[in-house]
Amino acid sequence: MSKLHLKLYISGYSLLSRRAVTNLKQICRVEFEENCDIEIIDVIKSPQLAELANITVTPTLVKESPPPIKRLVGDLSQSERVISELEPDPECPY
Amino acid sequence: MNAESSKQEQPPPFVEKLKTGIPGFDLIAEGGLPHSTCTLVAGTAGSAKTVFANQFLAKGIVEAQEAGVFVTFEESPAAIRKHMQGFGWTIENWEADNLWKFVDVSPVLGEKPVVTGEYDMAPVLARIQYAIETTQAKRVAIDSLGAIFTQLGDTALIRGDLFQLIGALRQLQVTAVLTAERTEEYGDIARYGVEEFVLDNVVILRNILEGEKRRRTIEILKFRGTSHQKGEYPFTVLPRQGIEVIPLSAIQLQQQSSDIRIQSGINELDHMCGGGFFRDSIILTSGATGTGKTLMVTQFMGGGIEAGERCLLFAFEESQDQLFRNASGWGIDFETESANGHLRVVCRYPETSGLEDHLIRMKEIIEDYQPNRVAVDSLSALERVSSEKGFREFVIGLTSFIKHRKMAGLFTATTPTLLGGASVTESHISTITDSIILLRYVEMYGEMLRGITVLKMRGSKHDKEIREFTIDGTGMHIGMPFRNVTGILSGNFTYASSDELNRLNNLFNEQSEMRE
Repeated sequence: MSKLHLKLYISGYSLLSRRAVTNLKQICRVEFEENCDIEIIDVIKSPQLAELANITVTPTLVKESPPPIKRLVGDLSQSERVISELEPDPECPY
Repeated sequence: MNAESSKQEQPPPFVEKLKTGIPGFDLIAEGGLPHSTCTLVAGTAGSAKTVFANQFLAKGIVEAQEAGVFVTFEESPAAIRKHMQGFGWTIENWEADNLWKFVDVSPVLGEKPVVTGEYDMAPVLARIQYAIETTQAKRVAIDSLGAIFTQLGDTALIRGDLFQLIGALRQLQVTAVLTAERTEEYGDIARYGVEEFVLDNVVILRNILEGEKRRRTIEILKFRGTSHQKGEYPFTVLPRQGIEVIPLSAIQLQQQSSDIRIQSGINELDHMCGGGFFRDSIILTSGATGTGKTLMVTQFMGGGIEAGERCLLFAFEESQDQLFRNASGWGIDFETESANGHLRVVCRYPETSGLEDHLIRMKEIIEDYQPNRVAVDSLSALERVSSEKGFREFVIGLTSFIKHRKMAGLFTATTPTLLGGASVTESHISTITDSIILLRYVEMYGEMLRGITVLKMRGSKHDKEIREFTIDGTGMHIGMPFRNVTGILSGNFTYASSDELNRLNNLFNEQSEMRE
């Protein structure tokens, strides 16, 4: 299975941000055997990155690869939903 | 201790205002928007909220070199750039010069993010702050607050962030305009109760349907800690210019008046008026169709040309060719004079645009041509295309504009009935005009004669009689008063015999003798 490249946009140390980080790490460990490359971006420290990626809400998780690119918003507490979105798409030709 | 604290009491802080640059708005806002505050601009769909927000930024750049940040929750920046081109705002160039910056929070087509839990809108706040810092912006526009909720959901977290956003804007010392949707013209301030976030200032834009016609008005509902003009003011959205507010009641009644008389173009009429019209007065001529109103306008223009004045005629009933032909029939050569630049004739159908647009165009033409005399033929034609209130505002706006520039104005109004009667036009504007001249048909022994009287002339003696006048190839000729007819103005004529006339005359003589 190819490695997951994920970007997680958070805002400072807010409760939602911390919850999202914890949830994401948990999902990666349990479901994807740490086969994830996670980049955490704080929009308050780097607003220009939020601008570039057109981020409106935090937390936002962007699955950059493998394709298709997907956007998930919220604190990732609905783990089943997160997993089904991150799992490789069998229909995808790549 | 008490004495000390009372000593420290200071007068309420002076609220500095930021000139928006939106024509007319700064007048009703008495200087502009309160500096470093947020203003809610609420209106129904199509009430020009987005134009207002854009113009606020555009004018800041053009007139004050102040950079602006536009936060869009609805339209994409590409769409805004395109739509605002029509107003002459070159957003793309300004973006290149770092004077304009978009914070694009508009929905992306086809992309529907998966929701996995709670979220907040902290990035929007961070991006706005970042944009303000990088451009050193003084003005911010957010379009629109309601779209935040439709796009991000109306949750407690989003509402909390919106509060934070407004607070942050205040701290950043920027003046912000935030738009919000309304569902009805007269009702709640805005949807989603957004007014609870923006407490400082509220401006309402309306787009009211009145007698099958749309009428735009703007109202400043409140300005915290400072004054503004109250009530609704008409405004219009002009191509290549944007919003223009027509600040009618804000016009001050302080025009000077002069004793200088000008010639009406009809000698006998000058006599009736005690030596001519005053130079900066507004004269209303009212009469039924065919009584000679256009002739009077023509002669008024002719008199001006003869005296070396510049004359401007707004015609709403006849075409230029018709006017020129008629004038030459009365011995006045409009064609040559307009070629020489002594005369300018502007013909337009009243229906071509709303009354507000007519007013602004007329003002532009007057400003451009700088005439000494202005005639409008006829006001009644304009009344057709407007509501009662809109018409009154139009006349007030036009008269005060003309008087301020020390010009003489001659307006005509058509009465709806052939005999007697007063037009609605008159009752609306009779108090605004300085002189009123009535032209009436008089039925006499199976013949239709014409009568003229000077009903009112501010600041001067004038003839009180109703005189007969005739029209021939050289124009209007005023003759003797009607002695033996009464009830001309009401249209209910009674004919008095000469015996009766003498008796009445003697009656008054006797009375005055008795008093002495």
